[in-house]
Amino acid sequence: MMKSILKILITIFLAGTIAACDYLDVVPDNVAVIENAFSDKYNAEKFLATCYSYIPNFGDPWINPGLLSGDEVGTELSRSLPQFLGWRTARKEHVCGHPRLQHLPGRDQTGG
Amino acid sequence: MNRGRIFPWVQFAAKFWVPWLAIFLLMVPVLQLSAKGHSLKGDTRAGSTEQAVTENQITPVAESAWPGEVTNDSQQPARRTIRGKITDQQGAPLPGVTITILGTTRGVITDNDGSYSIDVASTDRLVYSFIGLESQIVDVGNQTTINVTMKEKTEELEDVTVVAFAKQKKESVLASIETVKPEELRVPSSNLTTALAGRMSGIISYQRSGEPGQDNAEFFIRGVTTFGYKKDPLILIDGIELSSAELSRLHPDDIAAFSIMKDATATALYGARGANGVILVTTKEGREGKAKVNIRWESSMSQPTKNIELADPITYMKLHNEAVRTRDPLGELPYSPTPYVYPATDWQNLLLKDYTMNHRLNFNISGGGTVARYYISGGITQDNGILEVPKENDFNNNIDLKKYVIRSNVNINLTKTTEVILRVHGNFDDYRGPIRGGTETYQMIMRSNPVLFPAYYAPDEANKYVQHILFGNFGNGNYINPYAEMVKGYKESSTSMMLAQFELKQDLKFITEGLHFRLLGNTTRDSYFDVQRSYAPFFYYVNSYNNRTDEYKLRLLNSDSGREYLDYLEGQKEVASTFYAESALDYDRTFGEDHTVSGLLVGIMRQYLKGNAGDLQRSLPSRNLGLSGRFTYAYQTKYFVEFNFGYNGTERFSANERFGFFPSAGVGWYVSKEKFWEPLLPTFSKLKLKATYGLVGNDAIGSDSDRFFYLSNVNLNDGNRGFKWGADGGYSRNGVSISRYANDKITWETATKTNLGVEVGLFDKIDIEADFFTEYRTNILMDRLSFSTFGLQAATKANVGEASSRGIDASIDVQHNFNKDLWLTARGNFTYAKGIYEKVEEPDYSATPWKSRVGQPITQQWGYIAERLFVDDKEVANSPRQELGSIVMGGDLKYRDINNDDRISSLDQVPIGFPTTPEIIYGFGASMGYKSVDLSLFFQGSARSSFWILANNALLKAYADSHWSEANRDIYALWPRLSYKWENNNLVRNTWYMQDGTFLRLKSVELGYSLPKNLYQRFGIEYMRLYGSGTNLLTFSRFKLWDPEMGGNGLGYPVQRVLNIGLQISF
Repeated sequence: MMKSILKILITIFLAGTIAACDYLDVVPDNVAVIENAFSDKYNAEKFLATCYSYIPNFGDPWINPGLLSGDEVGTELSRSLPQFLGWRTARKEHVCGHPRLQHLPGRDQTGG
Repeated sequence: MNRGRIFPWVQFAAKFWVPWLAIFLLMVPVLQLSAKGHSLKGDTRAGSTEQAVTENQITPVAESAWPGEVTNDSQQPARRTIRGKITDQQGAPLPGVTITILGTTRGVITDNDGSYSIDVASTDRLVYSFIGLESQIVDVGNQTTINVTMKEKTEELEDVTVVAFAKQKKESVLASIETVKPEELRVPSSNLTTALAGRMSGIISYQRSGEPGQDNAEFFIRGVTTFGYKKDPLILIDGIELSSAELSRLHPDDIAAFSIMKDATATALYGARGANGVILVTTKEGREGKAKVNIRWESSMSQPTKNIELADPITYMKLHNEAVRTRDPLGELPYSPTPYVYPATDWQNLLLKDYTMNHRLNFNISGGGTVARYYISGGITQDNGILEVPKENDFNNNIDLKKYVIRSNVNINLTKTTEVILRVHGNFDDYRGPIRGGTETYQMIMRSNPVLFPAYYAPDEANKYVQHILFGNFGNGNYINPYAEMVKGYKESSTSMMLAQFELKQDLKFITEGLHFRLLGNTTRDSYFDVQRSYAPFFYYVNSYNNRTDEYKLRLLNSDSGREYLDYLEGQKEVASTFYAESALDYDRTFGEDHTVSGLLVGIMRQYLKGNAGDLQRSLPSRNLGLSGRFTYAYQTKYFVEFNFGYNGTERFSANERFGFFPSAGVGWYVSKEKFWEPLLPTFSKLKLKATYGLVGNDAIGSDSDRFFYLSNVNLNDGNRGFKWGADGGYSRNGVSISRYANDKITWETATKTNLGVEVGLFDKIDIEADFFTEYRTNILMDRLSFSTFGLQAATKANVGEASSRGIDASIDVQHNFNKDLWLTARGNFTYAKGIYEKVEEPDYSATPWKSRVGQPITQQWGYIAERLFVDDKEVANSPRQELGSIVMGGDLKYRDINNDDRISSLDQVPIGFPTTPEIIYGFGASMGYKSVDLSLFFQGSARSSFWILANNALLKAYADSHWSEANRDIYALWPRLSYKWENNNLVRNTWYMQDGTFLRLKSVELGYSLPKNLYQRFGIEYMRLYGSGTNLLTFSRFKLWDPEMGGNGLGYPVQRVLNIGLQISF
């Protein structure tokens, strides 16, 4: 009798733990995942917009080195004004150890 | 995918609670059976002392007004009367002690002066019993007077060690577990974490700030062997995972055992959560006996260990002028040559006090009977900051942190074999302090200009009737006036933590001897909120000064943004709940003399839910599920083997990776119990060798906010990634941004730990324990290298990192009683742990191998080697080009060109100094007592760490005294050529500002005096001790500018030196 109680206890003990595996399945369905981006026409267009959004803005002197780094146009270089990196490039501050302007990511890569 | 739609809790109830409910239902007949078993066994156990107590308390004897014989067995031969007196350990008479003749129900109780008399035969044995005291059995023999001193029941055997989910006999423990006496952790501080460094082997710890509420020390078990986000150990208080904040609030008086678990055998049961080690604390439980009250009051004076010395205002002005002109000869001088027209503001003096007073009061009451026992405790601590409260101000802005703690542990014996424990615990903090916090206020004080403006002006003629304080400022009123920042308002916050715990222990000896079942349920609730109230200060500036009349006219700088009345800002609010359940079946039995077997199976489940997580994925509960086990076998208490496992799951990973198996095993040999050792025993009283090996995991990888690696995390409506098409951009769509790509292969870190330990005892007085350990951690989550040309929106991560560590931890304990009055205990410990990178995702550094992190310590810093300062501009022109973002001049730092490419670039950065986490922490101390006086001293040290002094605009006196100037071209000066702006060349990490973090300090001293008993015994007080103590009294270090333990945080709120007096009363 006692042995059987023990057996039952152990069985339940193990079963209780193993049966509870779903306990860890906390993520409900319908959380936003990448598949939702292609669920309909409207959303697919949004994804297309995302691709287009990476086209560099050539009119932006922050991004387009052609505007300021040619030393044809200058801006004031004072501490209180935002410093155009193109202009700093023109002033030969775009150096190997401290690249000021990189075309692909758009901005200063060193945080300086 | 239908099952996912069922509300998770329903699933949880169906899948998990039903079996538990079944266990409960099963328990009902079990309880009944066990109750019956108890009454049946009553007769057979009548010989035991415990039984005699309970049986006799209900006999009519106890009601007899006159102590004496109650029943009379006239058949007994040679009867005579025995007299005597019963006293307690302190020598006070004990009334009400039951004295019975063993094996009968005959007995007497002692009267008010503790005396008794009973008629016995010389063959009888007398049982003396009293609730809460150890029963004693005395053979009558030929004695006529038997005086007995009753001793208190010892709660548990001394040689028991707390191990994962259970207790084990110390001699059979193979795992590396360090246990410290709670008394060792008693420091005059309301923060327990500050007491850990150097008290236990295996802990690497340091304290960077002394600000009340922010002064938790960092601590790691056996150093850091990961570069993931969770590096600190798992903290369990009464089996419940809590944070280091809760650990810091624990009062040493409430702690029954404090252990840290270091190796795989000790931590494998915690499976995927134990890789960084485990700190296990159990709180006290009530003991049988009358109510015992302990009260402890402490009052302490706290002051910075070291005050930072700033340059005087005149020097400040001179050097500020110099800084401008030395960089730009045409620069406009900030101060005119006459220094007399500038105010001199000593911000430190104005805003900081010399010292502050803190108070702590703790009490605990414990006691109980045979059925129920209780331990309740409470505490109030008040910690004040060292900020000065200005008289002009309306509210008190000094930091005022009050902490309240209550705890109640109640144990109830439902039946002879069933025990129920109910624990309720609450921590409540009330904080009031400056809006920017102590550390930032401190930094503002250090960095503010001492001559530009005063803290405030006395009103001039025009502002005579102005209600607000006329704060000083300059320019557009955009300078930081630390005084205004501090007094303009205050922040109030409230933190609370409530914990309720139910535990059921059932002895299943009616199934088989040595089998126990335990069930524990716990819930913890946390909440936090803060509110800020402040006005916007009005800033003034002296517009004109008439030196004949000594009158000035002020000009208001910010009439538009100033505000006299208070505004209100709600801060963050945090609420969280944790649920935890644990059930355990354990078995422990010795067969014959030689074979001891034990087994343990534990199932755990835990859920953590945050109320304001911020986004959907973070709002989902964090869960853990696990089954762990331990099997041990000991032969003749000489040879030991042990096997442990943890089978753990976490919600963070995909279904395939969710569960992990973490096995570990150990062997031990108690050499000194062997026959051949006997001749050596007087010298080497103990020698035990042990070795363990196993795996442990860490599921807290990535970051707290980055949890479900098998799911992508996307924002499907991101305006920043949108685009416009068509005429005038009339056709627009928002974009999709991805912050994580799905990766269902991501899993936990795995630590493979090896531990070799030796325990040595010498002359029965000295105990030495030493462990040598190695750890190899694999699967550390890292960002893969990526380039923008990949076209990815987010970094990809994988379990690619590997790290290893090795080290030694050792402790030595000496205990010696010279005679009855003089005793000495000494204790020392040492921890050396070095963790290094083994495999990291990094670019190919084969051309510049010094850039590679492989083989370097985990908190190693990279920087330039500063050779000295440039002599002049010509040297700059003839040296490798230093293109670090600023124009280099003579007197700036000259760096070594490591790769000989004739330019200083990031390729010249090399590992410099020691890691920022100390590799060695040690402590040693001694306590001694002579009669009623006791003295203890404790030293703590730290070695093999580096830190960097801050590059900032605080002008320390040391910098003013030693810097490069055109007049004094000292190329080895402490500070390079001054500058009024950010000089990146001098501020990049380099060896010039590197400092050695090594220090040794007199961490604590305590001198106590136990007052003579005859002073207070008549008031019912049992024990009274008065003591004085201090922490951080002396520091020995090569670094002199500030407290070396603060490291690079030197201008923050300083670490405190505390002088304390306390009174301890028990009754």
